[in-house]
Amino acid sequence: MTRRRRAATAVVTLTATLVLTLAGGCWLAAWNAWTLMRAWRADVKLVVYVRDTATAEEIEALRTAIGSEPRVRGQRLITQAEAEEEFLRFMQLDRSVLAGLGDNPFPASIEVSVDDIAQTPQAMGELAARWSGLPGVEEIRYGEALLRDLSAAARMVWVLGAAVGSALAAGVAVVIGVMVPMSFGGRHDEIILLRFLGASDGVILKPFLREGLAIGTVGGLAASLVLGGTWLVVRDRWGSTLDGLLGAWLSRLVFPVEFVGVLIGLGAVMGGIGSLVAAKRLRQVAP
Amino acid sequence: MSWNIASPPIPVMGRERVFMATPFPVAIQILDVWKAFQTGLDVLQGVTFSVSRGEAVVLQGPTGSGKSTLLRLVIGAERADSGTIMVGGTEITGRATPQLAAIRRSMGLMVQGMPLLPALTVAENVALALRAVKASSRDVRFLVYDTLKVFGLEGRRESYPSHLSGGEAQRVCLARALVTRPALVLADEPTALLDRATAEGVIAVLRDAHVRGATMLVATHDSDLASRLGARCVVLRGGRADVGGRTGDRG
Repeated sequence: MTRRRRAATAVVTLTATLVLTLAGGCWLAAWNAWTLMRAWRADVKLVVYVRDTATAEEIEALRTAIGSEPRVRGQRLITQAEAEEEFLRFMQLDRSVLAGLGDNPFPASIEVSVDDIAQTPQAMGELAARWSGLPGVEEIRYGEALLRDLSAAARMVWVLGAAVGSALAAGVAVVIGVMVPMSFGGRHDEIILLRFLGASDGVILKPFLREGLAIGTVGGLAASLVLGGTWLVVRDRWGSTLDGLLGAWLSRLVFPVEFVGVLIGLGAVMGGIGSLVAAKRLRQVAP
Repeated sequence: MSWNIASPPIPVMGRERVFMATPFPVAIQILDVWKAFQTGLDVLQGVTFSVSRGEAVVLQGPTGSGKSTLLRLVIGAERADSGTIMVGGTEITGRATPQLAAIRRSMGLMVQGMPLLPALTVAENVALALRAVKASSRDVRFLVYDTLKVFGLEGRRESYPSHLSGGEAQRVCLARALVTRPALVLADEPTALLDRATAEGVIAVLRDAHVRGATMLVATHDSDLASRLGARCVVLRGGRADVGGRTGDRG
């Protein structure tokens, strides 16, 4: 390989790496944002407040009815005393501030967590409506506004991720398609010669395809290393600081190993497509 | 570099060739072929002659008489304005390049427009012809090595064309043309620019290929090449072919 061709191949590989890193960075951000939304949404619980007058049998019947719902993942009964304790601990207050209130004013409640499918405002609303008529139920709350906002945000992240990801994927193909001919510049004469020698299209295209696949694969691998390396550095060096500042969200983010395979696969496919497009253009040159 | 003229023959590839498979007795048939260039010059004006299978024909004529053009027409690198050219029973006039691939694979070509690729070594340049016929890697290694040995170029395997002398480059081109042991050899001035001793070697290799059954169409000014090949002579002059021309009849 001549120095010029080596340099051109290096430039194409670097460009492919850069575009794949950008695309991968966007997908990684979108994936993590969506994961975070899901995690936050999973934290949203249905709280079934129990009447002060409810008997132990009624509460038990209520828990049984809630537990029989297939979408319910778990439930926790918070008694009046526990509610009071929790309030004081959360507000960091002394018990004496409640002295003038007489009986315990905090209602008992059942905290219900539901599975992924039911974590939508509609599904939770349906459950709330179904349970509100049960004996012993005072009121049901589930942070409807927060849930609606999180659902909308998760949807938006998906749409944005898909749009940006698709645009960048197309960009990868275009960039490789445009850049790969640079590394094939010196191949023009080779194609003419192969035509003279009677080479079939397959014989002529094979080295181009091989080179495109190699460029895309190396680009994908390099992009994975850049993103993975950046991820590790950010997490190890600034993770605790960011967690402290932003409420421990960084520890919830992930760099999925499958992502490396996706980037390498995408790079290889786009490299192959780009090189075939380039080779087809050069194929028109015929003696 | 000394070159053993009595070197061993080019090895057989053991591959059935499309060209060899055709039952057509005439290898090349050129019927009333006309070709003019943009300058308006009619370089070929109704050229007609044929080359039988296994025959050697030498094209002679003055510079600019259309020898190289005729060779390029026969391989489909240029199109005739009118007339018919058949190779191995297949009409090639008007065919697109991809359709000519099978016919070209049966040919060993050493014509204008086929230089050595400067980015490839001597061995890689010769191997290109084998890549075109989809030879296996093992065959490529074996045939390239043996062919370069025949041409006295085994020591130049890894050299790049820029480091070769004119004579060596000429021999590499011929090695590339003959490495597949083609059924039909078309060569344009294969001994031009060569010293006598090197030219002798080239002629010996061409004669050897011819003795082994290859059909030859060679454009040359070298009358010695024609006589040594035992070739029939076709002289191009004034745009027409003098089929009865004698060897060494130059313009």
